Amino acid sequence: MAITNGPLSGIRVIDMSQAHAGPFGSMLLGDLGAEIIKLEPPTGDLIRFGDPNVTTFNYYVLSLNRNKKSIILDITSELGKKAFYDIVKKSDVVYSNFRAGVPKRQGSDYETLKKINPDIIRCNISGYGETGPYEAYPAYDIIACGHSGLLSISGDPETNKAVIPGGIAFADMMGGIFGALSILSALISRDKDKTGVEANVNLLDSLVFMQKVMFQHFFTGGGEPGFQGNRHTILPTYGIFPTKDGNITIAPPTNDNLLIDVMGLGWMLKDSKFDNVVSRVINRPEFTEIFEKKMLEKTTNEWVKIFRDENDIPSGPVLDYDDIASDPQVAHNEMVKEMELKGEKYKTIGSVFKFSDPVKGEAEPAPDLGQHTSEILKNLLGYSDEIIEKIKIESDAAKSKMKSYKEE
Amino acid sequence: MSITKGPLTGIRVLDLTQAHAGPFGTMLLGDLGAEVIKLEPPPGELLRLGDPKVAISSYYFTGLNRNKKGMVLDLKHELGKQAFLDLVKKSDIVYSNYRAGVPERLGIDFESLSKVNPRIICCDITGYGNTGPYSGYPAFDIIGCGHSGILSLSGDPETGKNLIPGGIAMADMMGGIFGTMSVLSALFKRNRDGKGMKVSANLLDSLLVMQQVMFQNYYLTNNKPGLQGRRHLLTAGYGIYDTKDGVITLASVRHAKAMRALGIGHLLEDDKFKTRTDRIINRDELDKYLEDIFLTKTSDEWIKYLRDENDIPCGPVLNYEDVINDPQIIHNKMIIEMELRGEKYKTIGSIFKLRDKESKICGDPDPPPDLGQHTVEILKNILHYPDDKIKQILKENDDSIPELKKRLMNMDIGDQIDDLKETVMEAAGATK
Repeated sequence: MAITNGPLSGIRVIDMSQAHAGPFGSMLLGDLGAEIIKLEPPTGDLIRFGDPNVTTFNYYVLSLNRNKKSIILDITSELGKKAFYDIVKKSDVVYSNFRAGVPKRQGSDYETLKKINPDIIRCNISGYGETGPYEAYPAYDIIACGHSGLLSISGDPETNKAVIPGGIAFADMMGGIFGALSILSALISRDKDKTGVEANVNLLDSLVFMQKVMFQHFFTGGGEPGFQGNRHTILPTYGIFPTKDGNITIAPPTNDNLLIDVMGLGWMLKDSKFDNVVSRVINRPEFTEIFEKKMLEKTTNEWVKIFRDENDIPSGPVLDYDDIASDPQVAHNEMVKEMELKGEKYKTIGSVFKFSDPVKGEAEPAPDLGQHTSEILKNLLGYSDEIIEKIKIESDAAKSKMKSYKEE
Repeated sequence: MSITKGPLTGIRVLDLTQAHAGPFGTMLLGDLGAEVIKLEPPPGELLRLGDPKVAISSYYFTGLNRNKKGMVLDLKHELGKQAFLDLVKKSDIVYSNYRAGVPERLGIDFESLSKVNPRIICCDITGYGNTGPYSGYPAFDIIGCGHSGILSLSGDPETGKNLIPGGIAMADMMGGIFGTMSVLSALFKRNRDGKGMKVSANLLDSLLVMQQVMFQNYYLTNNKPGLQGRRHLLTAGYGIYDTKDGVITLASVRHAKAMRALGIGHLLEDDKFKTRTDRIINRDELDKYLEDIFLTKTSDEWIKYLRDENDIPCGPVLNYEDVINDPQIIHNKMIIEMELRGEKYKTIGSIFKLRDKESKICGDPDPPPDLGQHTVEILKNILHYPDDKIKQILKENDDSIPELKKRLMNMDIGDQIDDLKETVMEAAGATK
């Protein structure tokens, strides 16, 4: 059963996006109740690996494409392109993550689409931007991370090694999110101005923007920030610390005397080398050595109980995925959902959106490639069986000519 | 000159947020053209203090509070509270990032405010959620990271060390972003059906959603992903590679072509590397070939050869100095110049590039406000309060400072307080 009453109920999105950035953004719009029509070329989203069923690496497809309908159209063919434009007439948003220049070549750019539907909102997510010196370069997540400066701060100063930011596809997700945000704002302005909007984003800008505070520090004379590691540049008691059996996070209050006291290091508060925030900053190496050694004496849970539960000091455990699966707050927030695909139950991460007027209905699992082609052509466009059959034949013919991702 | 036209022009936001998550979220609304009134308690937001500064504003405050009007109100006093409720009547959104339960205690929760204005949208950002077993715990960025599992991915498997995700305050920013997305969707709906709404975001859930793909893999395989280091879980030949003189990024999605270009085309004959799937299964072995090859040329040589000449996705790893001089970043207008009290400074531009026939967002952003800079203007022009009432409110604000300041700063270190304040605030201000 689909979601029936989200804030975006009644909004139809044509989602031409593939892989990670676009599909994540359109999934957010689907979580908000929009109808998402995932328009795939005959070989499918490249993350399907040329496989019509979600199989080999189905976790990618499953996790990014819930609440979407899948339609196959070869928009390089005459009938396929006409069907695409016919859907554009009945839609609110066209969303994609093509390399700059591709929308224009294939006739899905804003200039072309607004002639077909003046109210259309067009969002493309590119790597570097739609224009400019690097517009034509290929770009994927990690490349934007490197180009945006993020890899110059994401890493360990001790080994001088950069690591993937957060261990996730951060650039892709931010591109998708800022695309979805731009679309939301364009939907609001369209209700007011009665005109469509072009709302493009790119991975590079998205990551530069996410470093806003760090750049402000740099612009204001702070120098190259360098690898941020696992500690705070100034506060010696902020960060991630090893314990007897794992790691703990601490974000001490402005004055961390309480933290030092409840750790059993009260003597430090009587020693002029460590008795206030300034002296601890000045004598940081010596302080840190004592502080870290003390932290190894108890387990993470023991420390969290003392800090957080008994003294309201912001602190918490470093959980792994097994811990999250059984965490009571994660369960309470309904962030782990069970869904069903072809009779097989599976778990997935739920929607991030929490409303006082809760979204009703259940999310649908990711669609098979082309699962809804006939339904959409028939019910939305009113195409005859004959034309639908022709479109299918055209798609099949195109498929054999297209190089599939798997074989490449 | 302010932003005069944007998709949110005419929308008024009462911004009660402090620190990072909330201010980042409301700045996005300001970048979209909303009028954001930043309501601060009399001593002001803590992060106003700290170095380095632009004129009188810390870099941290400067980075997160452009396009906002500054207003001081003490919600604990009767007049201040009344002025706030009067403002709610004339506003669209109330945005806060208090710990769960605080809005109810202050009487500014959605239930109370929707009685004053049924069209109001209330957004709150908390650490763990509004309810539930951990809702009462204090939470800041790094704590949200630890609790969400992202610290179990973020780090170097060779040293076993967990590292701050991306080196930025990822939990805070994601909380602000998802809060703002919720606000926009609620606003869209309210503009059509007239009904206000409460929307909520929290740091924990925000980071879980960012790990959507990683969790899906875990749920299907039961394998914990562990520290991700420099490589990609799914793809072969993807990640950060050492070169002769530094590092490059590589996302060789069109992999057979990349292998030929790198001079290891013969491996495509090998059953272990024939198809994409084979190459993913045997990616550790493939990586050894790649690692050796990349050491033979400099980063620039590789980028020229792979990206420019062969269209293989790869790129440099830039530092901040490189970024601000990068022609694409300059072309994208991501670095803008602003002015605060006669001092020019650079900052990161808006992420939103919306345009219709002319241009969807017009005008330039304003610099961050001084503490209470617009208090009188707002009381006078929006609420039409008489001068004597305004004077009373200003006096109330002044009277509140010593007591509130003490409570806010919670510092009991005697005479040193003034000397230390700056350093402490500097430290707090640098919270990543």
